[in-house]
Amino acid sequence: MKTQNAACLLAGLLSLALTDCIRPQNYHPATSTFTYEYCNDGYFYDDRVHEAYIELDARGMQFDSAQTERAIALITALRHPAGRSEQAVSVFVFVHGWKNNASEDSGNVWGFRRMLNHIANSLHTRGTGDRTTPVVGIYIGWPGAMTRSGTFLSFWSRESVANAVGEGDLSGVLEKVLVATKKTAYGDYEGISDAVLIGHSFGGLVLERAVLGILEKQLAKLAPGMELKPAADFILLLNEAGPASQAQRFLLQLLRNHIEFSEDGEPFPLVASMTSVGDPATKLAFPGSQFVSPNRPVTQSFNPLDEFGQKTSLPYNLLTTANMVALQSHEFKQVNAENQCPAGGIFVPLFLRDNGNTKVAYDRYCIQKKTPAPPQPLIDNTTPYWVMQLPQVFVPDHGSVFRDPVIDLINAFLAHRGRVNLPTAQAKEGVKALAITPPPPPPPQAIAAKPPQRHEPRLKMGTTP
Amino acid sequence: MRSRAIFVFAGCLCIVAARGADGEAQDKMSSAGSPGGAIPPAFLPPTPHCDSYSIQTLPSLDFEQRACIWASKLFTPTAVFGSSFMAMIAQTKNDPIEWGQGAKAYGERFGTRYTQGMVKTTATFLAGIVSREDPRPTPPPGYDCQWQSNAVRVRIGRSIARVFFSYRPNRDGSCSVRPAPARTIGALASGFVQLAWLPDRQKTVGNVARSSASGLGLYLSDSVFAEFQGTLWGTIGKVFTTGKSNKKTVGP
Repeated sequence: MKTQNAACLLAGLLSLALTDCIRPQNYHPATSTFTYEYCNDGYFYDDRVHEAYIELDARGMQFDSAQTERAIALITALRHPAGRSEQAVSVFVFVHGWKNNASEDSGNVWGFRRMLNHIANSLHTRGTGDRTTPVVGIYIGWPGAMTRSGTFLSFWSRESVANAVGEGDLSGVLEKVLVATKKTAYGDYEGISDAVLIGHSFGGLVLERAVLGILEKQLAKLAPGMELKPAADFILLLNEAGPASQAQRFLLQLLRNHIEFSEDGEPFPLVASMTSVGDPATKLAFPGSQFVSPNRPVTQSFNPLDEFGQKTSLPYNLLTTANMVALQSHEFKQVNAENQCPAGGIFVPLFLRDNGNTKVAYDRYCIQKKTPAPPQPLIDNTTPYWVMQLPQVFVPDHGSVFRDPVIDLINAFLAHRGRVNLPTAQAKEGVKALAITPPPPPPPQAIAAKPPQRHEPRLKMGTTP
Repeated sequence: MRSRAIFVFAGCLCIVAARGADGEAQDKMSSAGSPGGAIPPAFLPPTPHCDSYSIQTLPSLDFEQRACIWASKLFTPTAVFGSSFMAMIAQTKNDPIEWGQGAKAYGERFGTRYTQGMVKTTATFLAGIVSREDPRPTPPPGYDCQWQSNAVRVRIGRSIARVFFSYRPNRDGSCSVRPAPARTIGALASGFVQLAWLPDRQKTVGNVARSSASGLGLYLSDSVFAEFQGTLWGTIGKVFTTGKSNKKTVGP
C-alpha cells in the first residue's frame, strides 16, 4: 500500500514538474505579422489592428531576424500604400514583463491585443481626424516566464535575463522599427507617423536599457543651441521593475548637458517613468529582492551628497526610479477643468466608453511639475526624464496596465504634443490652442522637399549652465 | 490514504490535459495568418483561452477557462502552506487524539486538510458550472453593477453579498441579481468529506457544521480582501515613501 501511495505521489509530482517548466522558444517561427478584424462585442470594438511579434532569447539575441524584417515590411507597406501617397501610421511597441512571454497563453499578449484594439478605436472614432490611420502593435517577446505556476523564486533569474535582453539585439531592433516608422528623405525620425514605446515591469527595465542607448546616440549628435527630433514620440515605463541606478546615470547626463525637450517653452517628456501608488511589487517586493540579490552592486558612499541628495548608492540599487522620491519630477493633481492645469502641465481627461464610442470625461487630472519636498535635493529633476507616481485610477496595482485610462493617458501626451485628434467632448471643454510655428528651413543636404512641419517638441541642448 | 493519493494524481492528470489542449489551440493559432505579403490578410481574432488577462477581464468565462481557474487553485503555495500550518496546530493540540504524534500523523493531518481544500474547490467548480456563476472573487472591470459606493460599510456588504449572489448588468443597463450557491455548496462539501476519515467519535453534525462554516468563512474573507486589496496597496504606497533627499547643507 505504501509503495502504491508513493508511486502515485511521485507520478503526480513528476507530471506537475514536467508541465510546469517553460522552455524559451520562438512562438512565431513562420508567421509573425497578423492583421485582425475585430467586431464589436463590448469587449473588443469594431476595428482593424496589425500585430507583429519580435522575439529574443535569454541572451538578448533575436530568435529569428526575419521577424524584424517582417515587422518593418508591414510598417513600410502601411506607410507607403501602393498607388497612394505616404500615410501616417501609429506604431505601439510593447515590452512585456515578468511571468510573460510571446505565447498565446501569456496574459500580456492578450492585454496588449485588447489595448491595441481600444487604441485603434479611440484614434479612429475621436474628433474629425483621419479615420484610416493604421495601428500597428509590435510585441517584444523575451523569456520572462520560467514556470507556468509563476513562482516568485524566478525573480532573480528573470532579472538577469531582462538585463541581458536590454543589452542585446533589442536596441538595434528598436532603431530599425523607429527608422521604418519615422525616417524620411530629409532627416531621421521626421516622418508624420507616431511611435510609442511602452515597457511594463521587467519590460520597463528591458526597454530602458535598450532605448537609452538609442537616445544617448542621438544626444551625442547635439551641439549647443541645436535641435533634434527624438526617435520615439513617447516612451513610457510603466511600473518599471528596474533599479534607479540605471536612470540616475541618464538623468545626470541630461542634467549636465542641459538637455531640454520642449516646443515653444512647453516641456515634454523624452522618457516618462510612472509607477502606480498601489503597486506593492515595485514598492515592497522589488527592494526586498534587490537587497538579497547576489547581483546587487557594492554600495558606494557619497561624500558630499550626490546631486539628488543621497548619501550612498544603496537607494539607487534598491529602489525603482519612480519610487525614489528624490528623482520624482512631476505629480498628478485632480482638477475640474483644463484651465486649472498650470502652464507646462499636461491635461489628462478620462473618458467613459460605451461600445467603442467615447462619451464624456468622468475624471480629469493634470500632470504638473512637482515641488520637491524638504529637504530639497541639490538638483531638482528638471530633465525631460519625467518621473512620477501614478494614481490608482489609471493603474490600480502592478499588473493591471492594459486599461482604458492608460490609453487616455497616452492620448493626452500625444495630444499635448499636438498630434492626436481630440475627442469632441474634450474639444468642447476648450483645448489649449497650441501656436503653430513655421517649419524651419530644410537642411541644405535634403534630397526631398520637406512637408509642412508638425507641431512637435524637439530636443535641445541649452547653452547656459 | 489511497483515495487521497488518487485524488492528487487525478488532479495532476486534469492539469496536464488542460495544458495539452491549450498547446494545440496555440499551434493552430500560430499557423494562422498569411505566409507572404507585407500586409497580412485580415482574419478574425483568435479566441482567448486560459491566459491571466482574459480570465480576469472577460465578461463571462467558458468551461475551459473555469477549469483553468479550478486547476490553478488545486496546487498553490498558499494551499500547501495553509494546510501545513493548520496540520501543525492540530499536531500540537493532538487532534484527533487517535492519530497520535510523529511524521505519519502529521502527514495524515496535512493530507486531510489539503484534500478538504481540494474537495471544496472541486465542488465549487462543479456547482458553478451548473449554476453558471462567476468563479472570480470580483467581477471583471466594467461589468460590476452592485451598489456603487466607496463607503467602507457598503463595500464590506457588497463583498459579502458577492459570495451568495451574482450581479450582472443587462444590455438595457439594469442589474440582474441571481443566487450564487456554488461557494456555499463547496464549503458544505468540504465539511462533509471529512466524515470519510475522522474517527467515529468526531463524526458529528457539529463538526461538519464547524468545518463547513470555516470553509465559507475563507470564501468570505477572500471576497472582502479582494474588495479592499487595491485600497490597502494604495494606502501602503502612500505611507511608505522611499528614497528622499538628505539635508542640503551637507552638500557642496
